[in-house]
Amino acid sequence: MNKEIAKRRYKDVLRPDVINNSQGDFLATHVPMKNLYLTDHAELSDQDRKSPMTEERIYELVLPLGEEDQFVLVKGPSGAGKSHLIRWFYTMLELRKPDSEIVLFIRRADNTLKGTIRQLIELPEVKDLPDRELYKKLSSASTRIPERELKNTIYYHFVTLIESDDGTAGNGEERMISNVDRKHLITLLQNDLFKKRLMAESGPVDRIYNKFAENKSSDVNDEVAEFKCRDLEIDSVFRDELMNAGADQKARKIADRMVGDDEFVKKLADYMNLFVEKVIQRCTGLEPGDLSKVIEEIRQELFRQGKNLTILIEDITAVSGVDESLLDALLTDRNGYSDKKMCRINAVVGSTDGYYRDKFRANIKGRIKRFVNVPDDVFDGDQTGLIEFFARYLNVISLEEDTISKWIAVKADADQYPVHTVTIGEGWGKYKVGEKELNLFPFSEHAILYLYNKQDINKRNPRALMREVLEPYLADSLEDLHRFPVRRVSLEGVNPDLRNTVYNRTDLEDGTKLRLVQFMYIWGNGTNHVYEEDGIKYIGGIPLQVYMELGLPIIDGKEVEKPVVEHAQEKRAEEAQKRDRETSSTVVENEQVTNVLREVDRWIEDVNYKLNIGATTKSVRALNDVRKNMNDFLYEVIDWLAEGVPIDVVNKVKETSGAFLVAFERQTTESNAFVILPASIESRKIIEAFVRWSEVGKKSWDFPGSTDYLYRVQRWSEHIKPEIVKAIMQYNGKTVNYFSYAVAAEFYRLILNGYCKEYKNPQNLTPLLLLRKFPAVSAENGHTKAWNDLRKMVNDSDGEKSRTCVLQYFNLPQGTAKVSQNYVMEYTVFNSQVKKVINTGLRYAEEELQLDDPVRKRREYSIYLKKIQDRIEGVIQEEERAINSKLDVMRQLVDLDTLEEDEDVREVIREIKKFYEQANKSHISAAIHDRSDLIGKCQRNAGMIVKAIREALCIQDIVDPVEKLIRLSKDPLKDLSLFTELLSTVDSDVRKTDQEIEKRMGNVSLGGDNSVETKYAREQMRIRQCRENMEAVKKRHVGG
Amino acid sequence: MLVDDIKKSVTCLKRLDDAESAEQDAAKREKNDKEFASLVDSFTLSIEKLSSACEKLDYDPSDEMIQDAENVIEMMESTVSLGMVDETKLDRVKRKSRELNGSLSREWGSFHRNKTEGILNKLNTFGGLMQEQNQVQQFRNRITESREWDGLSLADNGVHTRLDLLRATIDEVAHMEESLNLVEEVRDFIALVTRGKAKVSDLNETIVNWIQKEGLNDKFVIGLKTN
Repeated sequence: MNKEIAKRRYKDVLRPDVINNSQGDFLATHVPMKNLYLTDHAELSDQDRKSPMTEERIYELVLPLGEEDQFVLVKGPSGAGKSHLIRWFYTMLELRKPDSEIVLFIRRADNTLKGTIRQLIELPEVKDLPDRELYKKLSSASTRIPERELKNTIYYHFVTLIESDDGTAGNGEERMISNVDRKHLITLLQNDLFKKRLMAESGPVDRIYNKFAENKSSDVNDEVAEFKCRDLEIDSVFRDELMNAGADQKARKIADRMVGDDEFVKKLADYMNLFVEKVIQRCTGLEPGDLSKVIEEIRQELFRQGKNLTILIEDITAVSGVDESLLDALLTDRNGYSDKKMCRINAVVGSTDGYYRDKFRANIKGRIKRFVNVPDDVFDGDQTGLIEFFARYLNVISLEEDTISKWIAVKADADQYPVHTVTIGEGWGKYKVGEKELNLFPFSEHAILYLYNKQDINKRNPRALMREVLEPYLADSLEDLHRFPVRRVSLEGVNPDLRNTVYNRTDLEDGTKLRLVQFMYIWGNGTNHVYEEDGIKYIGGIPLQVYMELGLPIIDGKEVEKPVVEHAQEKRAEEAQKRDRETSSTVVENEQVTNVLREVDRWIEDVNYKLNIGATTKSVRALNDVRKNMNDFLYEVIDWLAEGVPIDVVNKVKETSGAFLVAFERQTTESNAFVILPASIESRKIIEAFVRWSEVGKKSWDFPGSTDYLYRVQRWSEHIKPEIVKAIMQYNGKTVNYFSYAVAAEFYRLILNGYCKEYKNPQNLTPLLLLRKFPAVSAENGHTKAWNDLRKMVNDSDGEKSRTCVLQYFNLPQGTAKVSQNYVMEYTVFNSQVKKVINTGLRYAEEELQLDDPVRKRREYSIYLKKIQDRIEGVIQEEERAINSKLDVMRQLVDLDTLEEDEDVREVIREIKKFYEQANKSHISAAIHDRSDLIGKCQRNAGMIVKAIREALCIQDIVDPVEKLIRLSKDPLKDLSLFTELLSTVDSDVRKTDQEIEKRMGNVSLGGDNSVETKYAREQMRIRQCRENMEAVKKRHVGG
Repeated sequence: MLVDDIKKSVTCLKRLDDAESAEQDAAKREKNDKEFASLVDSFTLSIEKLSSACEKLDYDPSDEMIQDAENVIEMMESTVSLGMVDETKLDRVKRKSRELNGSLSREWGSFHRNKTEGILNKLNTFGGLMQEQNQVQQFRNRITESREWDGLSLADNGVHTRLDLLRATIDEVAHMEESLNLVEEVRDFIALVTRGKAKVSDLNETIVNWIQKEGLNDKFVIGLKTN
């Protein structure tokens, strides 16, 4: 390489699609294509694939320049080399065509319609056209308009076209969307938020703009100018934004439908796409027939001059918007229009497979009879061609432009092919072109083949190789050779001896080790063989000076005889294929190992790289397995009880997803690990040991070299054990305390189920209570809904978990069982720990709970206890409210002070019974209802009622909520409710009875005049007389 | 309070039962009316007697008696307050009235004894001295006949009640004593003779002169004390 020239030139050379790329560069880098197929149908059959052709042969068949009109579609995947081929056709035509043949070459240019039109109007054949109006129109179409203005124009053209449409997009066929949907769509398009979204960078408007107006990047833009489903997909977040921004009702409706309805969204996208062509035409001011008219006029003009036309279009997408009419013009056979007097036309048009499949209309497809298929992998089986491709590009970037121009001036004579002066990279390898040798720096033959094979099968085309291999490695080498190679490639199926030798060196940094290993395996032959040739020492097939140039350490290799190398390039393919076969067979065997190690190597070297642990790639699965296996191993080998760690604590960590004893530094998914494995070669060895244990040994240590791996793993596990033991019992400097929370929660469960009625206050609770079986109670009670809801909650699975934790935490498992139902408690410790909880009064402030415990299974107990505590106050309030309401009712009906003993209640009940007996006797309607059950219950529970009243009055004076809870667990409400119900019922019955008495008394008729004055007048008179007499007696009596 | 309401209600229910029963039972109603009328009559008579005794004999009933009498009056009023006789109340007032009558009898008996004791003594002392021994006996009879409260309003002679006759007896005995015109010494001697305690030594000239003057020599005899 000539470093100075390459630095300036490599981008221009490697980006062949930019407008100003050089014809010289093109020829100097051209490698003949050998895998082309000429067919009369679009899709290649297996039979077709058996007959590949060279570009020269295709040229002969496709461009014989006869008298018949011809249309050839050069078809292939993006980047396969279609443009390159068409350009080569053009170059050859220019060299070989007769004078009567006019060749129009429409380059991809800046990939836009405007760029294409600009090329067209600059052609002398167009400038000389008689129709000046058409020329002006084309000129105006290529005029630059500010981006923002043009994008808005595009957008509003869509709105206008849809507004004036009837749902058929002007096709007059079946409606694609209903009128209602169309109106709603218009409203949505008029919404600012939605507009902003569609006009965003890489959005549909941007895509359309880039396709016909201006391409901001120099990248090849094969993307079709259209709406894609993803542009119109709306998620609930965006819909909410629309709602919050006060979007119109119609816009909301259609937005609602667009959430999650893929079919509807696709329908909308398809509908919108029907307007793309019209919008582009309107924005450019072109009409569908303009370009075809230009072609027609050119043909007529050339016919007059006795000339023929060959037109080559690199990429049909570059004429988006008018492509259909242009294709129509190119497919017009002059034989059908003899009156128009047009010249013969030979059209060669490039198109991607996808564009042909999706965008060519059926009638156009039916008219195309010749296809040149360019496959994705043009170097398949052509390793020599591949190396030549690299060698030529590497040569051209190191040559000045004028050097190439001079070569072109001699008609690109192969014998005079220029070769650059090497200023850097001597000894890196050469490729022979004829008698000339091209320096391969910064590659070697081995590196080119290796990296080519590492490319995805779909990315082995020339463009992808340039973008993803040539250019990046070249840039790396130009930047800093002392870091080269920067990129990491998985070393699959290689003999690990060399790598182990390097990794076992203690004097080297991890980064250096990795770089050396990568270089020796990819650029070299992957061995530590040392030999001398022509006074130059080779290590692993690479000269010593190259190592020094890269600043790499020199390893002590194994002296071997100089290998006999056959330089014949013909043999290379065979060798490479052989190597590929060997490599691929080993790849299958150790795929997971290599995937993991490749990932780990990147992770070790690049401090910004995150170890890819997620759920997307194969390496992830293997790494996940490694992490799992490492953790399983540690769980197994550490004697937890001997280390003073309850098995329950271990299980909690083990059962928490995302909580690990060991995880990796800088991993993509977050995990709560107690020990972080640093990104180092040492860690790599541990990881490698586990991946080999799993993948090679099939979950055993029975694999080659296992002794060494096992020894490392054991040493490592002993080393990190104290750290793990400490970490597992603590977090953030706090000792884990979930047992206490489980105990408190279990006590609450017992209280709420009424098992602690006799304890009066929390301090009286005992550890033994926790060991007895107290199943959940589901019998009817008098508690409030809040109480019963909370009780239900604590009887649920969380409550069960707490109970299990209480019993399991200090359980000493017998035998091999990790969790046993036969408890052998470490009772002394259990007792003391529970007493500590009892002494807290079962109250834990939020800051005392461990809500930030990173281990979810432990944290759950804090969350659960908090959930209970948060609800207790509400439960107590509701219970008290209910009790007070009962007491209020009772106070209105009876004097509570008089209800001191059972007998007092019974006395009241006796009176009640009397009332009902009398009511019954008197046939009062109140007696119809049978109250005997209620009365009987109250009578039987008279003692409980008195106690309940006493308890209810007492609770009001208690301050401590837990004590209150315990008191309330006696369920005073039940008996209060019973008695209150009776009293209220009786009260109501008495009132009704009084009314009934009054009514019935009024109805009593004793015959005649019932008034006392009339009926008992005589008696009344006598009584009055008695009164008078008595008055006299009294007067005398008092006087006396 | 509920218990009080219950009790009231129970009472009302009973009354209602009665009223409705009464409504359905005319004979019973008539009987009750009669009984009530009889009760009122009898009570009125008692009160009249009481009033009369107070007026004529300065009889002063006790406070309890007055209160009880007034209660009975109220109860009687209440018994017919619903336009018919409340049988329960009737029973109660009848009982009360009976009790009152018994009390009146006892209290009258006591008053009667106190009131007539001196009169009877006088009749014993001076009755023998009287020419009209029949009259003395009649006095005695009247006093005896007026002893019972129940018969106090009876007019044995068809004109005057026993109470009136008692009043007259009291007045006539006083008049009889006055007409004997006795000095103090004679009065005391007669009293001793009446009690069987007079001694020969009690005789003095005044007494002997009074005996001779009144021609009562045959009326006095001397006897021997046996113990």
